[in-house]
Amino acid sequence: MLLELKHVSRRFGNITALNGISFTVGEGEIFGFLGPSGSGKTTTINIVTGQLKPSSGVSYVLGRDSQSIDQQIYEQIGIVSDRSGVYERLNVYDNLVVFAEILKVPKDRIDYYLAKVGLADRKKQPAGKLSKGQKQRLILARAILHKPKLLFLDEPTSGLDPTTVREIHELFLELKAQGTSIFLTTHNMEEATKLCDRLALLDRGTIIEQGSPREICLRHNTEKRFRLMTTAGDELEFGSTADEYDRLCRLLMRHEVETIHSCEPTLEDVFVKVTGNSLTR
Amino acid sequence: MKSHFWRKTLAVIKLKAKMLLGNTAALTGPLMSIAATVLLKILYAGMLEGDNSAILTYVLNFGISFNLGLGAVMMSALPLAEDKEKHTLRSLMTSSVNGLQFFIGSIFWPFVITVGVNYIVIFVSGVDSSRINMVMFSLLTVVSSLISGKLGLLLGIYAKSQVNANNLMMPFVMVLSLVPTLSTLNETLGRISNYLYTGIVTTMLNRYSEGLEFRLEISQVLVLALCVVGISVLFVVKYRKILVSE
Ligand SMILES: Nc1ncnc2c1ncn2[C@@H]1O[C@H](COP(=O)(O)OP(=O)(O)OP(=O)(O)O)[C@@H](O)[C@H]1O
Ligand SMILES: [Mg+2]
Repeated sequence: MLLELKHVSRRFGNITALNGISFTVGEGEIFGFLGPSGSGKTTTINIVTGQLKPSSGVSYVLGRDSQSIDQQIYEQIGIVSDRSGVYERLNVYDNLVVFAEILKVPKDRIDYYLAKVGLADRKKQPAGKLSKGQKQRLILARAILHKPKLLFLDEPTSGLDPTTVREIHELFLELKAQGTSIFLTTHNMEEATKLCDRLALLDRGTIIEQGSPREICLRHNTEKRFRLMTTAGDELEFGSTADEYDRLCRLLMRHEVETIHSCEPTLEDVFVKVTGNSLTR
Repeated sequence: MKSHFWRKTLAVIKLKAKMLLGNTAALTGPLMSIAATVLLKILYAGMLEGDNSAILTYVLNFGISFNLGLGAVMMSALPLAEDKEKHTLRSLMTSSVNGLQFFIGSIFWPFVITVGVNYIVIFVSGVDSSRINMVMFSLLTVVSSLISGKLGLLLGIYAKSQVNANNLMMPFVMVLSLVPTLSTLNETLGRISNYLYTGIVTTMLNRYSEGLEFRLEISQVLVLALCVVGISVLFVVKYRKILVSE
């Protein structure tokens, strides 16, 4: 296990930000933390990376208690969060040189990753002059420079345009293929579905569901429904009563079905069903 | 110590060099110490007749107190406050730079520049340097530069922003640079000055200007040791608290 949490809770005054959460992230896995704003995603990252004390419970990063994380562990992980900063007066390239030197990374890898995050043509620009999205990509490049074993990404694509998001997603999958495990938080259901091998749905500090996106959706596919369009162009919806199956079969056998889809719930549907709230509240 | 310790420390030193070059606010301190010394020297130049050593010592004293009490403190406090404000300190910490590496890397340039400026100030003040015991002068100013640099780091790490760092610095700067400069004019200030590390430097310079010897007293050694150790402890304690919130 690269990451393991056991009953981690965190209170701020009388707010319970995390309420006894447990999960694990294994090797070569992209694990997603999907939850609305204020559900405790950032708090979780801060605790497991040794930047915040839990009120109770324990977490282990690369086998080490998060609370006694040392340099050796930090050399093997990468963190992207809104608490990551850049040297605004230094140019993009020099920002990465510092970390390449600290982490003993060959300098040619800087150019490689700058190209990967789409900042190759900004090399000489002062980091303070970058847009928000560009700054975020610079921070991402810095976090993956040393090919970490485990990468923590706190909403890595929020605020980026769709084309960039797609490129960044490809980068994540490439990193995964090279053996980096990723723990990422998001409130974007599509991102979670597309990228994550497993995920946890988080609501007000509690994990309400856990598993692969497919498992979670199927688990909540209690009332199986199908939507179809007939060759005549009528749109129909069927439930799973014997009667409805009968009608469906007849249409199929008469070759009157143009398209057919099963209506299993999306992650968003599951979330709404379990919590009564939307992911993007 | 292992090679990676120095590799990381050196990386921070290089980083700090690049950052300091663009930080005009932080560089103002040492430059002003030299400029003010030159200016004072020119102002007093008209009065210089006969034995001028007392006035020249006053000029030298001013330059050195200014450099130690203001220049060094500013040079280390402001960049650290900036690191906190812009979250780059956290980024270094979570990229495997530990407290000691950051500390050495951050104090290096303020320390080197402050020590250098102390010698430049001797030169521009026009004091007859043959009266100064250079071994003692070097010892005291090097230790004092170290203390000032550390004090700056301590203030920087407690500051919430660069503006806040400036405010925190003011009382320290006033006491450390003004009290020794005015110590010969007022008895109370003179007594307080004896317990300030910058005041000890002043006492040394005054004795040299009178053609006397200077030896460190036990109480002065204690003051210096207390500053060196005490500030380090406070810094290390706070550094840990920065990374891990309660
Ligand atoms: N330092 C703090 N002091 C007090 N309350 C805090 C602190 N940090 C977080 N909280 C509270 O804990 C809860 C969880 O916050 P957290 O930042 O972990 O949410 P999040 O899931 O990351 O939200 P977002 O998607 O908006 O980033 C919130 O109610 C927040 O107000
Ligand atoms: Mg957050």
